[in-house]
Amino acid sequence: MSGARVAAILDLELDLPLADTPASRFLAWIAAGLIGLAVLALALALAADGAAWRIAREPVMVTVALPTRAEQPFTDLELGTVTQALRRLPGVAQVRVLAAQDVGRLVQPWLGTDATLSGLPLPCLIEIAYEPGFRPDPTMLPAELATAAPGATIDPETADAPHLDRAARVLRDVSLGAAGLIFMAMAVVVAAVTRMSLDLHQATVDLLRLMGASEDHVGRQFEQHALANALRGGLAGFAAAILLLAVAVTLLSLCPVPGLPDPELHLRDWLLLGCVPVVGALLTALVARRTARWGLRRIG
Amino acid sequence: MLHDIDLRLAAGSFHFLMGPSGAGKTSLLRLLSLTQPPSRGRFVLFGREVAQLDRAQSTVLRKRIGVVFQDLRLLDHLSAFDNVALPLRLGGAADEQVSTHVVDLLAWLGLGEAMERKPPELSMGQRQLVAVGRAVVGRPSLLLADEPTSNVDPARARRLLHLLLSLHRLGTAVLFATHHERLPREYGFPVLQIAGGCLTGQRVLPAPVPLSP
Repeated sequence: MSGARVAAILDLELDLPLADTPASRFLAWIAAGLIGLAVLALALALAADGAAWRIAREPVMVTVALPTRAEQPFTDLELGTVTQALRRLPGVAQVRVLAAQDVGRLVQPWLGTDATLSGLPLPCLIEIAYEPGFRPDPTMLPAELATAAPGATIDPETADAPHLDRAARVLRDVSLGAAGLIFMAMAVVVAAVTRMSLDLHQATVDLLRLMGASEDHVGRQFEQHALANALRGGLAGFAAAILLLAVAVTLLSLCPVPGLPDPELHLRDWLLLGCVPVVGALLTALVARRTARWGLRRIG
Repeated sequence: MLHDIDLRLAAGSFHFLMGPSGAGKTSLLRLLSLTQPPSRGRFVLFGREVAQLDRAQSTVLRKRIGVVFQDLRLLDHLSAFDNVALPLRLGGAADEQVSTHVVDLLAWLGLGEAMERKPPELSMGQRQLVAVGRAVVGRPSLLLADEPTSNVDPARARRLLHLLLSLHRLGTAVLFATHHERLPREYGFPVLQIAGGCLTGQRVLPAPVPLSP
């Protein structure tokens, strides 16, 4: 669509005095609010989708603790048998038995640096790294451990890591649903405004039809009016939402929340957000035209 | 309520429609302009049975009818130029053609200086001229005029009537509703009499007797 065409749409002179309808005057404001909200909802959905994708790409790490046996430590043969069994699990990339010094470093925050670890019954820890993007079946590892190393426990913190990407996906779906609901609300508002305008200007519509205006022509009047207002309001709402997003992203990058992935929006995401006012305006135009044509048939 | 209407308007004919207020003049014009469908009877317009027309066909026929309403029904948010141009634009005429045609017509009607003004900024007489201009600009096959000269001065009324006569000579059927006998007497066209919603007769009124010997 050329600049001249957009300018022509925004500066309409219609046969019907639709700009005089009280409800029509608020259409641009309503579009601004709803498009702004839709942009924010879609931005949240895109950020959550990106986070879910990044989390899913990260390899899942699970730590297994073999039961403590102070009197009879695990032999290399026993450990070899367990690690062999774990390597056979689907998606496992690497199995590593943590050295005693590594385990010592792990317990250091609780026991202090001068503690004598040699006398303590430290567990034998095995770190399992899965292939990037692979999501392990949560029932397989416990089942394998029950056979290969009875009494072994799985670190619940590492075992729960996959839930974070699930949460991100849920957030994405809820945000997308919210954006859909906002568009639906917009369609309902536009239909109501168009119907009110049609009732208010029925005498003028009758006059135009008497002069040979087709339903299509009258419908287009409502369509162009709604399109102009939705574009005007939608662009304002889009600008406000982008400003708000920029502030939110800056604040989150200045004060990161521990455990929360950085909100990242890529070029593709910004392009998608840029489509929201356009889609909103086209939806508005379509609903206005359909409602007007339906109303004209009702009038007869 | 109209009843017992038996009327034939030939192409290029000119009729006055006379009757007291409430006699049914406006109702008959609404019927003929396809604004109000007949509840019964037969209505043939331009050779087409109106009852059998669908929306699209009615729209096509309406483009061939020009109407001057008693209450004018101008669009207050449009200029005089745009009001007059509306039927041409609805008919799909090119902008250049619309411009030339409308400017010429408005100039002829004496509204050359006022064409950019909106109806609320015009006098009642000027508004009436705009309404007539809008009705005739598309050179309709049928022109229905409801008291088109009621608010204009005698000189402009005569000018208007000349405009309608020119159209009539070009083949437009004109039905001119009025409650003054002066114009039918002066021009000698047949007068359809309507009373109580019924056409009661058709006659030609005698020309006025000159006052001077």
